[in-house]
Amino acid sequence: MNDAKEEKQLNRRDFLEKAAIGAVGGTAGLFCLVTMKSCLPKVLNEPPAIFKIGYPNDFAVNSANYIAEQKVFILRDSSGFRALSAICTHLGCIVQNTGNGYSCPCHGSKFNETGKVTAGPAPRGLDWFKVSMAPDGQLVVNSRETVDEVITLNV
Amino acid sequence: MANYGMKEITATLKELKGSFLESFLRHPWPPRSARERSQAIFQNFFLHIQSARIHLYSLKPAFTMGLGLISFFLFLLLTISGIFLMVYYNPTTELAYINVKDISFVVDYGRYIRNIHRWGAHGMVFAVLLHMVRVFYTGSYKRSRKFNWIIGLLLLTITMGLSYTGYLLPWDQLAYWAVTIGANIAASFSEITNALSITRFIDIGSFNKQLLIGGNTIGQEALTRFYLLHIIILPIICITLIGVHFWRIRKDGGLSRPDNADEIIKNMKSIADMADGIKGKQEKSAAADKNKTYGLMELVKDRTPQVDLDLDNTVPMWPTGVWAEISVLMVTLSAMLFLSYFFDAPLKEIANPSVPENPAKAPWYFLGLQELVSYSAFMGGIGIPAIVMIGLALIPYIDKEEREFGVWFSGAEGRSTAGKSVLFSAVSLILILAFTVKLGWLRNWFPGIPQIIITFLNPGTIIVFLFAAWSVYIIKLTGSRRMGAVALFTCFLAGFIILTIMGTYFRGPNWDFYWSPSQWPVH
Ligand code: HEM
Ligand code: FES
Repeated sequence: MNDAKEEKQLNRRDFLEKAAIGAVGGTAGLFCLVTMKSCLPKVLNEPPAIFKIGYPNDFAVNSANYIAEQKVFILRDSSGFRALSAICTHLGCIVQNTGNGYSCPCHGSKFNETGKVTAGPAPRGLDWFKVSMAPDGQLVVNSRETVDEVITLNV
Repeated sequence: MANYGMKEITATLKELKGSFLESFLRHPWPPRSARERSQAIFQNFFLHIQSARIHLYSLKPAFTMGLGLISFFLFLLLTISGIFLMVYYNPTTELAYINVKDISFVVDYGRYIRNIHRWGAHGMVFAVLLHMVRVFYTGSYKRSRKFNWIIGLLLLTITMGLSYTGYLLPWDQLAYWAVTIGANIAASFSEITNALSITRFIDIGSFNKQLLIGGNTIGQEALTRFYLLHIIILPIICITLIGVHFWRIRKDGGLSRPDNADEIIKNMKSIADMADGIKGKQEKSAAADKNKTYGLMELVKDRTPQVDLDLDNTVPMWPTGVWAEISVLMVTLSAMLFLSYFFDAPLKEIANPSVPENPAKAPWYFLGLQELVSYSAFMGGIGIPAIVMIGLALIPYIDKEEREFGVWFSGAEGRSTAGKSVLFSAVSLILILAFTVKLGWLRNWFPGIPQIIITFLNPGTIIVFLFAAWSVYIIKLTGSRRMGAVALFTCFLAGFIILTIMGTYFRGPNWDFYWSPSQWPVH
């Protein structure tokens, strides 16, 4: 009887100790989580991911134009329009058009005309974005939606 | 009432200087006896973090080379010059660049203050690295100092973080692109998660990046965050850790020294002379102090029993040690003033998010990493640095040998091990670099190769493997883990230097190889 009681008291003490440690640890943990979460941005103050680039006639057939603000190349050939991201998939520098492909100044990644990596550290090819036509007749690029290179918008 | 006449008041006023000084210092001035010299240290808030006596062995300039102190003084200098810069600097994308230009060209002395801050930052990274090198080679991470080595590694990380965050603040082209690359390294976890096709579920990469720069590209959010990190968060962590670092040195009984340090001291003529000089001076000043009586004198038959130089080869920190420290401060300051007078901190064109610098080079201490990153973003920027940091942190817990410590290279065997390792490291690394420059790497031969193979099999990982193998071989050969540690550390140190030279001098536009910058194409 006495023994059992003592054991129970010890247990209660253990319990309280564990509860206290848990409370302190939990508070610290929650604090860290909340801080981290609040530092993750909810609204990005950046150029919109879906944007208009102008009317089809603004682009000559067989041309490659670089749109600086959005960092995309707009390519037009006889079959239609394609949009290629200019952001290197390695570490985010801007690739340059070399005529027969693209090359990155930062660590020397090279891409061919279809955006595939041919050399350097880039882990994957450049992204192709979806191009569509807005009701007002302007072209729209959606940089959230990547597509296969073969998909072009015919106009 | 009569007690408080004019006479008493004038007398009290005459004593004012003395009584104020004593209340201020909490010990007699100037300190003469050994006891008062100790008081000069432990009655002083700023000095009492060091012990009151210092072993002659630790005063040998060739032992520490003052490198830890230099790091600390540069940190102070950076704090002070940084506050001056903050007077004119505003962390907004509209103003930052203009403010820095104004500081450089308009503000009185602004140019020198900015130069001091810039060269001080480079100098601090350099000094901290060299300090780590000296602590390693003198084996000063052993016994009770294990954990101070870890604190040191944290300080190294914080120092790098301070440089990296400060790099963005001028908002010029160099800043913008170096930081873009850095932020994307934080995001390069996606190289792994993409290869495993799990990015959709746990996107560690974007999480890191958004936490760090508050968006997907460097902009106002990033500038605000980097400013906060640079001026408040990291400096507070740094000064706290420095406090702990120093406190632990004191608790460890001062700097490390070999168990037979006393014999070594006896045999060193210059040190013996110095000790005699200090002792003679103390006796003279104690003897000159005729009014002093020593209670101990009746117990110990000696003129000045406190001056126990011969007993343990220590001398009072005050004034010898403090003067040694002040001279390190003066040397550091002069070097910084010299640099800042003759060399201006660079400032490129204002940041342009649509055209990168070509080549876009990070500051020198990150160029070795940039070379590794040019094989694989994840391995070069996160994987290998993490392996190196973990390896460094484990050193004191794996090498627990009671070998000679407090001695450079732990003696002759260590010197020859280090020499051989430099050779091994240089030959193997230069061969691999030459191979890669000449023949390319896997992707050039097998265009369709999956990225994950390159991530784990690239010049960077191969060299890490070779270094580790070499160290294991040295352990087998010598039967000593300390020698294994010396081999590994030396390989990585030499590797770091070679990669840094490679990135600095032999990489040009598009990160192509050039024998010298004069061959870079003009454009
Ligand atoms: C902000 C950076 C740092 C500062 C201001 C600093 C400062 C100091 C100072 C003033 C000393 C006294 C001896 C000397 O001057 O060499 C010291 C000793 C020491 N430091 Fe550092 N240190 C820093 C970084 C590091 C790093 C990166 C390491 C290693 C990873 C390290 C490990 C140690 C150890 C183990 C000692 C004791 C050495 C002995 O007992 O001989 N410290 N530090
Ligand atoms: S960012 Fe393009 S190669 Fe590194």
